[in-house]
Amino acid sequence: MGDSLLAVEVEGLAKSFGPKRILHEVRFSVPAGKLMAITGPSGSGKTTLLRAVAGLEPIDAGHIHIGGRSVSRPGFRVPPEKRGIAMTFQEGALWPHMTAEKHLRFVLRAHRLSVPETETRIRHVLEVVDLADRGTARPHELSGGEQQRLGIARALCVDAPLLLMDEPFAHLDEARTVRILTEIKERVCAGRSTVLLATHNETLLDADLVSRMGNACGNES
Amino acid sequence: MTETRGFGAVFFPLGVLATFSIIVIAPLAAACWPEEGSLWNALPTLIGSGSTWKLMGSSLIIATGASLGATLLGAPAGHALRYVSPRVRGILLAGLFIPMAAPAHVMAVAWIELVGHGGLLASWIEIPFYNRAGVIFVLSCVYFPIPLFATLAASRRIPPALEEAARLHTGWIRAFLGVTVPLAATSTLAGGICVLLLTLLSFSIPSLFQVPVYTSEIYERFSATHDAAGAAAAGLCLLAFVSLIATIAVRRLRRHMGQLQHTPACMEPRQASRGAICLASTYCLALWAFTTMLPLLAVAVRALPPAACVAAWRTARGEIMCSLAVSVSVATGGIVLAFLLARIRGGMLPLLSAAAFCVSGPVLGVGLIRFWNHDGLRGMVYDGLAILVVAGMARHLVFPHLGLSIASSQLPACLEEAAAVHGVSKWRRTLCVVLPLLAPTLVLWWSLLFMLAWGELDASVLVAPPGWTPVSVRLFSLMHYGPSSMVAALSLVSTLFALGGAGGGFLAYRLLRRQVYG
Ligand SMILES: Nc1ncnc2c1ncn2[C@@H]1O[C@H](COP(=O)(O)OP(=O)(O)OP(=O)(O)O)[C@@H](O)[C@H]1O
Ligand SMILES: [Mg+2]
Repeated sequence: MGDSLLAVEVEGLAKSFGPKRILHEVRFSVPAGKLMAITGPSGSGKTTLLRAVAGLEPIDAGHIHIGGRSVSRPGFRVPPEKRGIAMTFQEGALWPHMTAEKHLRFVLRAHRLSVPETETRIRHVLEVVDLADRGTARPHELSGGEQQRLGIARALCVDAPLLLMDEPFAHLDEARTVRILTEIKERVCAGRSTVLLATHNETLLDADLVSRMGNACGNES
Repeated sequence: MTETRGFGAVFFPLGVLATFSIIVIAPLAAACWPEEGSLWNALPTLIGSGSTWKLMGSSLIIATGASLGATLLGAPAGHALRYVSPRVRGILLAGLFIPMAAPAHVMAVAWIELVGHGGLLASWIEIPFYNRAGVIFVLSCVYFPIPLFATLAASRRIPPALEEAARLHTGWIRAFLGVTVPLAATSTLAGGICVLLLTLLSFSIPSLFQVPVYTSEIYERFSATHDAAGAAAAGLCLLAFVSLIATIAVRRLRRHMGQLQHTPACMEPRQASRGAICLASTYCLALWAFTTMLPLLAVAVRALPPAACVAAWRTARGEIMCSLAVSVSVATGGIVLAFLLARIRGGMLPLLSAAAFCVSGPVLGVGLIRFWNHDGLRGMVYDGLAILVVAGMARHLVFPHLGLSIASSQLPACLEEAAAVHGVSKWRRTLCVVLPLLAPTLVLWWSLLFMLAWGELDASVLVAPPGWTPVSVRLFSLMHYGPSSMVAALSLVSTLFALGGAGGGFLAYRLLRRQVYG
């Protein structure tokens, strides 16, 4: 089970909301330093799967390992803040009272970086997502696409070993999507990150692995 | 579901629960559970006694009358305010909120000073207040803002297109009566039922007008005979009755409440003819002048010359300082506790807070005496200012508890989750995400709690220790000797403090809201 070369291992995962069964016998594993796309029609459970991996949803059956450590099984859940992950949310989940820079500073402080290192990372990540000149703007002052890029910046800045991305490019134009994807892939290739990315549209991704959600969930390379 | 939990995650909820138990549950239990067995003797006697049913009937008549009166006064104003411009509406709303912000017993004094025996306008019109009709009248004038706000809240959510569609076929009066009024009716009714419950529990106004009602009888009986079992039995019956009404109301109304839940509130004034706008503004202004300006003016006139106010300040400085210290402590302690309770999401706890309010102030006062009046540490609390703080918190915690539980459940969960997945600890999430986002709501509830604590009388009148008398208790005892310039001056000072707290809190709320949400 605890193979340290596997960044994520999901085995026999089941999740229901009341009588509604969303995930059933989900099984896949992602080696460290790979990008896996999770695709499937709307309502197939992509977000639910990512939330379960992040520790935001308890699971009904099966288990989840991250970096060889068991983090979720029925009746047991390592809290999200102790999983060494970062995540972009489909609905943005930006903090209305913080500026763009403050979003990044707030999460970086949790990782105990020095002040100069923090400021360097903020500048770099804001440049990657093309928000360098919007650092002092608050979410309601940003467009839908800019908000989405800020969500991506927040997830990228902490340099987490496992990055979960839920429809990160839904509101972005192709040029920006490619630019951000390039940065993500550089990290993946350098072995710094493993990425699980839920999307409707996998054409731009060129993922290492693809997992299709639907009636049956498995993974294909 | 068990999760891996740290030391703090286990002991923090326990600490919050322990505090809640000492402040709310212990006096509630002590009130409802006197000496072994004595309650079971007292209950049948109480239920079998004809006077119990007579008093309950009297309370019910007063509460029904007041709730009808308040709804008839407030609901039209709630609709009318939709037709005036936002700025004028803000000013009118602030003015129309004053009768509720001022302590209820002060409004009773104000009405006596205006049209009671020997009042400012008594030569033109004199209302005999010392009967049920007088109590109903004053309670209606105090509580009409509740149906007003409830109606306005619903009316703002009715899409203008619904009324416009009706107006293609009929005149505005029929469109208004046929579409707007029925759509807002559930909310108006909920406001009316709130008034019914509050007036059923009210003690100070009937007691001042010497009209026997259920709550005042509990107080009289306990102060005269110290019959704790009798008070407990009476309190339990009242709690059962109030819970029954509240449960039926919630069940009946919930089905209809959903209608407007998902439509956004519209700030813009509704389109109407000049005549309609004029009529709407005139009604609101007249209501404000009649229920607020005139009675408070009468108090101000009675408090003249200014030397009387200065004398009142000198003689009651200790009481004012005591009230100020108690109200600030109740508001601050209550908000902190309510916030922590909302964070631990204790399922049934709001019901216990509500029970502490619904057993009525005098019964809770009896419970506070029974729990705190002991030697040792409890005695130290009981003999000092702290017992007034505990009384204020126990009695009014239900409002911020419910308010903050709802507000925090309405905060999108993903905002906290987004911090959690990036490694931010629970403490920092609370401090840096939840607290700033709830700050405007917290400030608003702080000021409302301050206002309630300032006017708190029902439980304090029983527990106020020697040397620590709040203004409300001092006023209450002075009022029994009839109106005087001292009473008027103190009432005026008391109103100014209550309004200062409420007004300051509201301004801070507006400012913070703009800062947090842009
Ligand atoms: N908290 C919840 N309670 C009840 N049902 C839920 C909850 N969260 C999700 N669902 C249901 O689970 C199903 C899967 O939802 P999920 O959000 O995971 O789908 P998705 O694949 O991400 O869809 P989309 O592509 O539209 O984002 C949906 O039918 C949804 O209604
Ligand atoms: Mg989704």
